[in-house]
Amino acid sequence: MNSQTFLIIFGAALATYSTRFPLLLYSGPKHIPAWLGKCLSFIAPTVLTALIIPTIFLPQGKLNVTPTNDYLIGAGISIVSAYIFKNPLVTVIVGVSTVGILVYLI
Amino acid sequence: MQKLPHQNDSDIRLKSFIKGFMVALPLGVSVFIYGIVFGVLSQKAGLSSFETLGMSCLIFAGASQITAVQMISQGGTLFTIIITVFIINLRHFLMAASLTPYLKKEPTGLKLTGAYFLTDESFAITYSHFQANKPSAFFFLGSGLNIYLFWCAATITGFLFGHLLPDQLKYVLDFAFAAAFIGMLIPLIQDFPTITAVFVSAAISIWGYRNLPGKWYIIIAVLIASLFGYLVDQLQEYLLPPKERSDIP
Repeated sequence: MNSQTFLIIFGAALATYSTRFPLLLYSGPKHIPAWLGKCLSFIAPTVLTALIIPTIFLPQGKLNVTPTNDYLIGAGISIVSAYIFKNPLVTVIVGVSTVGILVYLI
Repeated sequence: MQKLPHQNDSDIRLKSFIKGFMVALPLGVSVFIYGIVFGVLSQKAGLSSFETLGMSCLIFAGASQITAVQMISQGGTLFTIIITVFIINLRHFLMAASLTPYLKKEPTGLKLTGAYFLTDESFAITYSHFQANKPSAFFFLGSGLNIYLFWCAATITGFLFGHLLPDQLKYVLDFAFAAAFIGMLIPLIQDFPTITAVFVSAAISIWGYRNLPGKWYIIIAVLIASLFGYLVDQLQEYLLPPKERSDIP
């Protein structure tokens, strides 16, 4: 390993850890204000949405909302599965099987 | 004098840890596919196996590692690469902020260790688990370690054997990530303000993914959508007669 690459990896590791620990450690005032608590409660659903939306709607970086988009159909079926079964593992199996069928059988 | 932990306590901790590890398994499998992709990319970019594995074990953040590998192969400078990695990973601040109310009573050392393993996946698993179960830093640690092991094992597997996996199969298995996140997202949507926040986040993500550099779109989408959700919640409270509301943790 050359020293430049080593410094990059080490520096990037420190930079990444510095995004992870501060707010996890920060316990703040004894009671967080109600409005802030309410705002924080939206972070999880909106983060999960933001993480998957490009994968589903923009495969290969281009917006595709036609039936040729396997991931879009897979996502639709996964939503129904998630709503009915409320079990992420079942939804993974249903979703991946849907995309698999679309790719290999249709 | 420090009190020794009660036998029962350590049992509960171990159980929480194992539970976190087990619940994370389906996502661990999808992380494995993603890790293989990273290993292949890194090998193609000319990094050594040692450097590639070092990245996964030390940085442990997929999207930023892929970006860093590309920048290294294009001769990017130390400073710009580190800053780029930092910006891509800024979203961890938001996830930590939403987990921290649940982990208030946990010891500092445990939180510092858990923080090292904070990823999109372990966050999603832990947050949704805490909605219906007693929060435990050991659950968080268990899910984080699961993702870590899969990620590092996949990286080296991808580096050595990734070229053997057909692209079509990779494409199919890649969807596991989206499906798992949908599986965790849907049960979190319980009221009207959350529905609106999710739609706002989706709309901004579609726009921002194409128009904003790096992963900035995630931070922008989450901040605006969360504020929007809050405003809708306030408006609803103002317009509708007060009724029983659940307390914030």
